[in-house]
Amino acid sequence: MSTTTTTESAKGSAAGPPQTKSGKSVPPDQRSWRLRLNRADIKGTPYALVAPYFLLFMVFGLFPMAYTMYASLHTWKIGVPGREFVGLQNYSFLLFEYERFGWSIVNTLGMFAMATVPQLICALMVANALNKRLKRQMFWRMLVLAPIVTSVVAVGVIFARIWGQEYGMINGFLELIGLDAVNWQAGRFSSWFAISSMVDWRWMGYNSLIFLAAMQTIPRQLYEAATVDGASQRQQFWSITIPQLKPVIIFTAFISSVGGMMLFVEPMMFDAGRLSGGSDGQFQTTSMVLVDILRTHGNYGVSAAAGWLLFLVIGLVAAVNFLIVNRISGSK
Amino acid sequence: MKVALAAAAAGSIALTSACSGGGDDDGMTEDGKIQLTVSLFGTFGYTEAELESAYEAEHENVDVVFEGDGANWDTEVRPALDTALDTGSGAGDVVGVEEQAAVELFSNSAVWTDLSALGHDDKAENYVDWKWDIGHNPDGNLVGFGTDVGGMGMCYRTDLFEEAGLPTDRAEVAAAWADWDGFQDVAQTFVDSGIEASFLDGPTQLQNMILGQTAGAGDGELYVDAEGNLTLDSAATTTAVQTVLDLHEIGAIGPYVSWSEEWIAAQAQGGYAVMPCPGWMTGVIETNSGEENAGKWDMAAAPGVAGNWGGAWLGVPASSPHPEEAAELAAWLTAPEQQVKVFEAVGNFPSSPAAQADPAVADATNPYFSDAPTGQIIGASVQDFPALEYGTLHTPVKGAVEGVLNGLIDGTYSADDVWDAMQSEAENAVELSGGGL
Amino acid sequence: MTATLNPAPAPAAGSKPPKRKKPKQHQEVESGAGLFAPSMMTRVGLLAVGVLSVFPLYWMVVIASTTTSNASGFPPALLPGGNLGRNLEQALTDPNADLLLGLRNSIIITGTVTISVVLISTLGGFAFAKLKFKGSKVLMGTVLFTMMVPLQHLGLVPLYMVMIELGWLDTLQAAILPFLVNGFGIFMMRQYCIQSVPDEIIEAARIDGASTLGIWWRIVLPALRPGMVVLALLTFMLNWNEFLWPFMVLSGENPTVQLAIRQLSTATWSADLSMVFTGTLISIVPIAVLFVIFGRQIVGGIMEGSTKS
Repeated sequence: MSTTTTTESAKGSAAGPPQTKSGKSVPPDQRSWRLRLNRADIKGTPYALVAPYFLLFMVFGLFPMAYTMYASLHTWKIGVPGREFVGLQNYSFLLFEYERFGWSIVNTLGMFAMATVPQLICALMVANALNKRLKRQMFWRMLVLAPIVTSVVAVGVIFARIWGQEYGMINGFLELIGLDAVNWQAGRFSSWFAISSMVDWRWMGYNSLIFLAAMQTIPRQLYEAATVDGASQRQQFWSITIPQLKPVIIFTAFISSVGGMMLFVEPMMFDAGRLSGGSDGQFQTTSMVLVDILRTHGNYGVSAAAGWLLFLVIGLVAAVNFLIVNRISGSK
Repeated sequence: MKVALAAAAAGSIALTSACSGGGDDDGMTEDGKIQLTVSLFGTFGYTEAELESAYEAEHENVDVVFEGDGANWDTEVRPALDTALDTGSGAGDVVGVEEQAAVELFSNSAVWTDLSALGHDDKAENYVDWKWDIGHNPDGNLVGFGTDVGGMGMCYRTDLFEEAGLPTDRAEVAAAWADWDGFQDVAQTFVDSGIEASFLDGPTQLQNMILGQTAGAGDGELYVDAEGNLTLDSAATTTAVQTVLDLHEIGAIGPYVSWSEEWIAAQAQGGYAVMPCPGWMTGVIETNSGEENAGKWDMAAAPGVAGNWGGAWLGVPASSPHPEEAAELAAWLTAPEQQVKVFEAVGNFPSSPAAQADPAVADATNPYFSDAPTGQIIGASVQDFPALEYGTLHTPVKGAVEGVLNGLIDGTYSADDVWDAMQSEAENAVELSGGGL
Repeated sequence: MTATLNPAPAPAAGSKPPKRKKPKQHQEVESGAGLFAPSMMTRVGLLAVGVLSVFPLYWMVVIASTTTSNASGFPPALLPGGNLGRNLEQALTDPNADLLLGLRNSIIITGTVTISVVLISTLGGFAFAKLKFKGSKVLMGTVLFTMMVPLQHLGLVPLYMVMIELGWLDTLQAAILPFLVNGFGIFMMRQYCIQSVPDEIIEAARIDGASTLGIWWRIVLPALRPGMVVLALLTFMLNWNEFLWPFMVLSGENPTVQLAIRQLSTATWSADLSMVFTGTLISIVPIAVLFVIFGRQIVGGIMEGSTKS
């Protein structure tokens, strides 16, 4: 990227539109200068236009990634002078000694599955419903989208009350109908369930709008032909809608998996702002482990290693995800 | 256009840094006063006692700013302070240091101003001996002035005690639980009454209280020794954890994790009847329980009487641009007169013998706690209390131990698993926070 | 760090190209209304989803307008009380959490980020959509890749260290800088540009001697305006809710509004639940206002983003 020349050309053009009409009375040498400038503009300016993105990305994206790699191979602690190269020791600690890390991956994957699968199914059903001939379309769409205005922190505050053990609304209802109250925080699955509800509540409407938009691009002739053939609405949903939506479903599942693997605020707020994710880390996600090691223990090296391991897991999950969704929506 | 964009970006950054609220580098305000930032966790009662205006009235060239209201020591203030001390910037002029981290933080002479070099080594009689001692680091420098001490009583709900058929008078209660065996008997009676509330709030505060009491009376060993070796088999740790296990076995410990929303809500709802109570806890309970529960709480002397939890020191980071003025402010804030004012405002119990003897403290009663003589109860608990040395790594190990105890209560661990789980969690904490990795 | 990825907030890149040109918004509402009459089940189901969507928000208002003891008993309060004014006053003046400062900081941070993302995205989007240059395919691929990498977490440790080195902890620029660009924005502006700026107009302008930047300024920007509004709204909403990074670099002394609510709800000394809910309510007001005013555009933006590729 030749930044100097492009900046020149940028300045030249910013000086204003050309004074003369296409080269009528322009002397030859000035014309060739203009020609060269023009060529530089066409060749160089595109790079100048994309440069801000890539420059900032390099500073705040690429460089930190490389630096994280460097840090993860060293002992590096706050308040302890000196860094020592230790190879993969930080990684092996996380993988083989620090049980919370392994469990955090299980927790993250579990909560991701628990949150994403029902969420996408619900979103598909809601989208299908919104795709019917309803009055006040915009009202319904905004209604299902409303949770998105709530910040994650706010969701955490509200849902922590709803799922509270002694004074929570859900347990109140359970006791009302004669069941035992559940200590949602204590169990692994129960805590996952409560946290998944926060994710689902916030994102279901958003995803259903994406599905709805894709449904609207499905040519109606397909349905008309199917109706003529006597296919029921349910059959049409499975044999036309789902296959047609396949690319959108894959993409949504993919993005959800990246987001889901970085789950942090919901479980943190579920535990009164703590990073330990319950008494035994039963709902501690990998992001929480990473931040806990960084903030509570001041250990940069191990925290950086956790960052890279998380990255690898996300890549793996995204790939598996792609294969599964591809298989499912392809076979129907 | 690109130039304009760059200019706009630069402008916005300049703008944001201009309003980012940090003090000026030279530590002066715009009108030429010396700005002293006092970085705390909570208010220390200084705001409530209106010490800012009082000090500024005496020192016209000084502008005092208190920071850290509402901030949590372990999760917010401590990490930020570590970073600030490490990099030598942003630590403030006067810093509040929590007792369990004091030894660890003060041990690094390089980052603290030596207050004795500024002429403050004549203030020993302002503080109880151990408070004054821990304010000195291994190099012999005076680096911190003691604030309050966490003298302990035991808070209890008279309405729940009455319902359970227990005595409600604080002298009778104190006599009934004169020692920890008595405490377990009281717990047993409470549980046997079939009352719906829990006897104790949760496991961690009681554990913390017994830990300090046993260590103070004995060899002083807590979770970790001075070299960073785990000592979970120390008398203090075993006694504390065993008591928790015993009480849990009879079903006396409630499921309320300290400082959680449920724990807070339970104070108003009568979810539990007993809670270990350092002086400053009375303010917490009063806020959480609200006016409608006034008079239902009371305070009695704790089993074994002696206790200490909480309390802090004020130090002056070496990076302060105004160490002399900062040291003077720190000394003033912890002087007997101010300690009395703070006690009157929020109940933090003075570490100064003179302040402890002051009638405003010694004869203090708390109307919210059925007029309990809190000054007398808490004062008795810190009488002759020895210094506890919370070594390096105490805090991370404490986190590990408390996590396991909470897990015992919520069913994650069985009573048999507790010791193993504590050991392995503590080892991890030591490895992460210590020199290992 | 640059890609503000949140659970599932992006358009579906892989979706099929539309079979016909997108009709205008209000027409789409009618023509896209589907082929089938909704059954009773559908209506009931939708209503249930709608109630579930709104109930937590409604309950927040209820608790914010009542007292704490009403909030924690059972059955819980379900009708608003008359305490909103008192709670508002308490939440705004609570010494534990500076909500007003948080609001101001959040507006500065989110506003700066939004302006930057929108401008940089229109520049890059225009280049990728309409200009031919070597390596554009590879570069665009890189942009798409950056959308999917969790830079937030990979960059957390080093960026935090950099901010420490620069002495920028607790300053707003630390919270702003990593978010100034966003791959999603480039991608979205590229899609809009392909659709809404005909090649012929650009050719014509070139023949008239207009420079590339001149074309961007006089032709592309006006044509992209509706798309820019949508991108701005989405960027604003996502960044308003950003938590982790501000949590790392800012403190309770200089919080964003999200940090202020966390502090309000977890601070040791404050336990007034209705006041916490009031603070939470205050924190979502700016977004809620945007949502009410621009709801149509937001819904349209989410839906168009997903089919425009």
